[in-house]
Amino acid sequence: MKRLRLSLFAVLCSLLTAVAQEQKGVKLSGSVQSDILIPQEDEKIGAAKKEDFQTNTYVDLQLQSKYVDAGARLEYLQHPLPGFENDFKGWGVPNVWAKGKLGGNELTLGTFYEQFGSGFILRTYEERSLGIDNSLLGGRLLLKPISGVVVKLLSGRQRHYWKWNKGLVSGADLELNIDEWVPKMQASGLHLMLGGSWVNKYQQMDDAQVFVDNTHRIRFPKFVNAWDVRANLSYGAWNVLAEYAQKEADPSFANGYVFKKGHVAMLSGSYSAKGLSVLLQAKRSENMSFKSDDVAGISSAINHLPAFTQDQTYALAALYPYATQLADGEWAYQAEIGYHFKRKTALGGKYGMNVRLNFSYVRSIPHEFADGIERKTLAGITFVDYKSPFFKWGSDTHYQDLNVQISRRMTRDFRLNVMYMNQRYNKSIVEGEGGMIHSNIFIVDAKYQFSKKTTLRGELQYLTTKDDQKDWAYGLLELSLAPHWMFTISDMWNCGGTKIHYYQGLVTFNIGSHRLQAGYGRTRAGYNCSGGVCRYVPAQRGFTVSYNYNF
Amino acid sequence: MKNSILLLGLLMLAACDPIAEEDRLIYEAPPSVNRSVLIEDFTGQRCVNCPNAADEIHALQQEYGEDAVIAVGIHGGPMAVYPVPERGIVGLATETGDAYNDYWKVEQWPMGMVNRQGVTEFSKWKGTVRQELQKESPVAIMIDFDSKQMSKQAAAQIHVEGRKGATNGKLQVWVVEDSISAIQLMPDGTANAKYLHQHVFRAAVNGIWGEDISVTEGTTDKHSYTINMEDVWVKKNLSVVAFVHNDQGVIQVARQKLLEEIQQE
Repeated sequence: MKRLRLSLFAVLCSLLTAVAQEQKGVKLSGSVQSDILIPQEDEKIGAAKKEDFQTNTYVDLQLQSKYVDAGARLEYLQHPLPGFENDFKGWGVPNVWAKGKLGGNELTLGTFYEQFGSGFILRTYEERSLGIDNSLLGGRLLLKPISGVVVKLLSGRQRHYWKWNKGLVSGADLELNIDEWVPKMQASGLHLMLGGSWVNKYQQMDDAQVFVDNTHRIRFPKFVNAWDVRANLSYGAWNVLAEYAQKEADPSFANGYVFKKGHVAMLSGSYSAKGLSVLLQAKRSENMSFKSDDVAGISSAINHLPAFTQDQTYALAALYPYATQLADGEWAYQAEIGYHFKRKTALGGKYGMNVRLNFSYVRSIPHEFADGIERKTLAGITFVDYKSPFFKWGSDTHYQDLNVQISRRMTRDFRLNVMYMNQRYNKSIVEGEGGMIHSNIFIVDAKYQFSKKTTLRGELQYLTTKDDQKDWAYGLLELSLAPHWMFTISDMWNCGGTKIHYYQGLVTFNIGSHRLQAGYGRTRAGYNCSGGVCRYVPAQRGFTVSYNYNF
Repeated sequence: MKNSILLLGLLMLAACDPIAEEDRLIYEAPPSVNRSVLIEDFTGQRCVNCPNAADEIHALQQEYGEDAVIAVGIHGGPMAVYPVPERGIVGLATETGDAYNDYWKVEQWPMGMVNRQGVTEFSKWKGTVRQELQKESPVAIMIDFDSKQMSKQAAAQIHVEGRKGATNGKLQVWVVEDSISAIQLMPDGTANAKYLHQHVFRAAVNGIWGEDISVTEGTTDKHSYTINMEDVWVKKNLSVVAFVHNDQGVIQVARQKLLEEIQQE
């Protein structure tokens, strides 16, 4: 079957290339991404060598024309990189699609991705680093019947690695851009979008053998509906987004098989003008795990709730990342202010200075059971309804992060970025064990341009904590010889605990649309947890090769 | 446009499927117990949700009896802890347990198999136990011990009696230990230093993957084994678990407590 798919993919490639060559106005594009590890055993960090060669390789092809687009993706994951779920292994052409376009209207058949609003009730997407591809196989219709109106209708079965879940996911979304009908609003720069969505999951679970006791099994609903309403108002530098979604009772392992509605409410406001930006957000979610199959882990999710914590890019700032607790629920808040001090001022200096302050706080919500037992996680077979007053906090802080970043050009050739972060990470909630980790992180990132083509960048980071694996230090040097070469060496050192060095050396070569990176090093182990069960990402050491090509 | 909205409304109405509170459960008559079932519980001392799976096993044994529901806790994978005697760490992981964990591709904990009918979360064990208990087994298993060799070794005899047709498969014999007091992370995030671990896998007696067996109706296949006792094992808490499995899964399992058998003799 897979050979047949590969043959079909080859035929499709040839066809697409031929069509693109012969037809004017037809454009062929695509990409290749291949990450390779030649693993080595390393007892010190617990890295095992189970295969001689591991790779995650993807080839995407897209054909675009005036009326029809088409595409396909080949995935070779037969010997996958460490840390992915067992079912991830395989190879074939899981994604094939064709899209017809007429005016602003589109009809897609095959596999597709879609997001309604903020994704509270529907977000299908691909995130290769996590092994997520929850695309739908079916049909999607996008209509723009009149100016300011966008309608989406879709139905399909969701991808679960190398099979398609039996459940059918269908939905509709309507967005009304009111300002397009009211000239006065347009004239004043006031924009108002009202949106509404509905998603239905159909599942045939008559034979499901989930018992709450020895003589009673759960009757699962055949249909689970979810809906979402939202309003986005913007005026000049101001923007306010309010969104609310609700999901019908959807008993699953993650929520303890409780027959209870799920909710999420979000209010987000921002101000962005030259030199100043402000963001304020609050979100409360409860029992919002929504999957097309009752499986543990991160696969088969229909929806997605953003974490409301800042994505960190520096190694030690990203050591303890937060993951939204979909089933157990949470209150999440985020505030951010950014300010640009103008050049030639006392604080801005000769070249100006950017300061950004970010604060995020995530708190549990209460689960008040009639039996009085406090359950931090609902996963399992609780089956008992609970109360959770909307404005009440639960007993646990899930995550807290206060960070300030200052970036400043010191001289014509020298840029400096410094950051301080104070973090509280509830490892027990996110990973299942480990308690609260309270850390302080200090980062200095300096870049010096020796000449037009030669740049040297260095990072020094230090994380100090009395918890978990204690203190970490990190150093990085990166030499860029434009336009082709980049050399990177780094070391992450657990100086407070195991004394283990996680060193890495990389050489990157860029030419045209090709990027080739080769390296050698160690990566630390960690846990990924979801819904009460955990997935382990093992430590690794070895040679790495990464190739990217876009055309 | 109006028609589309109407159609959508009708679709949404058709898709409404609220289940009234009194209809959320389906009654199923208690199953007839026609054979024993084996639960292989993949677990670890660092796994906070694993005590929930142990509670589930306990509830099943309360319902059907410990002879009908035979459990083995296999400590393997990264959530398991190896013993470090010099630091006083009572770890329950073994290399064999790790090998089983890898073989069955367990990547989340707790997970388990009921009669080797697939690796699932513990919430699905009740249903599979019911189904498996009701099946007839073509073999019966009896376990005997020789009381004279109790100091450092024990001699076990496994009798596999054919009751229906011909059975081909593998016989696997394990040693398990109850009531081991050792640390366990708990669902509330705390560490219980004196958690009582039950039915902990200790060793495979007849090789890690067992041995071939073939038995026909009316005949009995006898196997003798010598169990080498390790110093850390508490003899009064030891049992032998023997089971026959093939492509259909586990087709019969038996458990016999070492000391009980000897006292009776």
